Amino acid sequence: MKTKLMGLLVVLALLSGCSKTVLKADSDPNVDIASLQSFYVKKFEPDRRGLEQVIATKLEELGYQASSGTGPVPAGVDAVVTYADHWAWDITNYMLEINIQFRNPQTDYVISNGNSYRTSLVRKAPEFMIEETLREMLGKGPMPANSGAGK
Amino acid sequence: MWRTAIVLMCAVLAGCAAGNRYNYRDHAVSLPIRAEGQRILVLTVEDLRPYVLNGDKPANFVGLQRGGFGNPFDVTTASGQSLTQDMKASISNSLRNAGYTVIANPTEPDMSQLKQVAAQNDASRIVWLKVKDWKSDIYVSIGLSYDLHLAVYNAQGILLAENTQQGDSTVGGGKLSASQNSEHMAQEFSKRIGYLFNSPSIRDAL
Repeated sequence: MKTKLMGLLVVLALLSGCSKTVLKADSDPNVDIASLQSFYVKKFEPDRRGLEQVIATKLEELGYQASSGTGPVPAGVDAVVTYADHWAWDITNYMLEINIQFRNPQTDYVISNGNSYRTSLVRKAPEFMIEETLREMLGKGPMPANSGAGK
Repeated sequence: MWRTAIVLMCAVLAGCAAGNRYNYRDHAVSLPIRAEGQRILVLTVEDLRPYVLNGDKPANFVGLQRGGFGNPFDVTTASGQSLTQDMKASISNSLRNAGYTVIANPTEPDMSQLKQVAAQNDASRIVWLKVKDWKSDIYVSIGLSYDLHLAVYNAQGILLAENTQQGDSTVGGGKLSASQNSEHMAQEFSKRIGYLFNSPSIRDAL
């Protein structure tokens, strides 16, 4: 009985690492994030999945002007968006984490930072993780209950 | 048999958690300021972390990395130097990139001595960062407790502006390698220092 209980505790301890979610955003208290209306998403060089386009699309869906690419930052944008994605493998490949930053176009200074981290058992599609991160950064509230990008 | 099992268990629990080192020194800080004309600053960073001052942890301690069952291991600086030395190097380089001439104070900060250094180098400002807390705690997620105080004085030691950043929260998910955790923490440091410098009064004073 004691051995079974110990075994169960060990299994639970090991599995607990498989279901961790972190959704976090913070912004420079001296910057009014609500004043940002136009964004340029700069492609993360190692990204081969076109996530810069996903981020730009999600920003547009949230009501902002957004474009993306690898070229120079267009004149007049309020913020440059940079990101870094991390992936892991558990039966299938999945996005473990995405970090998104809003930067001052002139100085490259980070004015806001968002992070979504989901381990294997709570994995979600990149579109979902990107949208929940942007919502957190822009104060747009939680993901809608009927969000179609859940898997 | 039991001895082998215990040794194996210890090895598994320690895993990648033991002996981790984070590189704060070589990470550029994202600063919102640019020097206008020739500006000379004296920079000093003071370690006021209570667990370092009371000798519980060494000056190069930066936080904890937890093993399989939450067992903690100390994380130290990659350089082996104190955390405040690494922070000073990082901030100095970033201020230089922003156009300032920086005199990094090599000794324990003391205002009368800082005023002397400022006078000897024709510096117009003294920038003093007090690190009251900076400790990461990494298991499945990354926790960070921090308490930073930045003050800008003129060459005569009169306070011109100050700003603080403090908190204790989860700042991300634990990474698969020590080098990724190191990078994440260096970025977190860069961001917090940037926020400190972006206060209007600090920017005006510099």
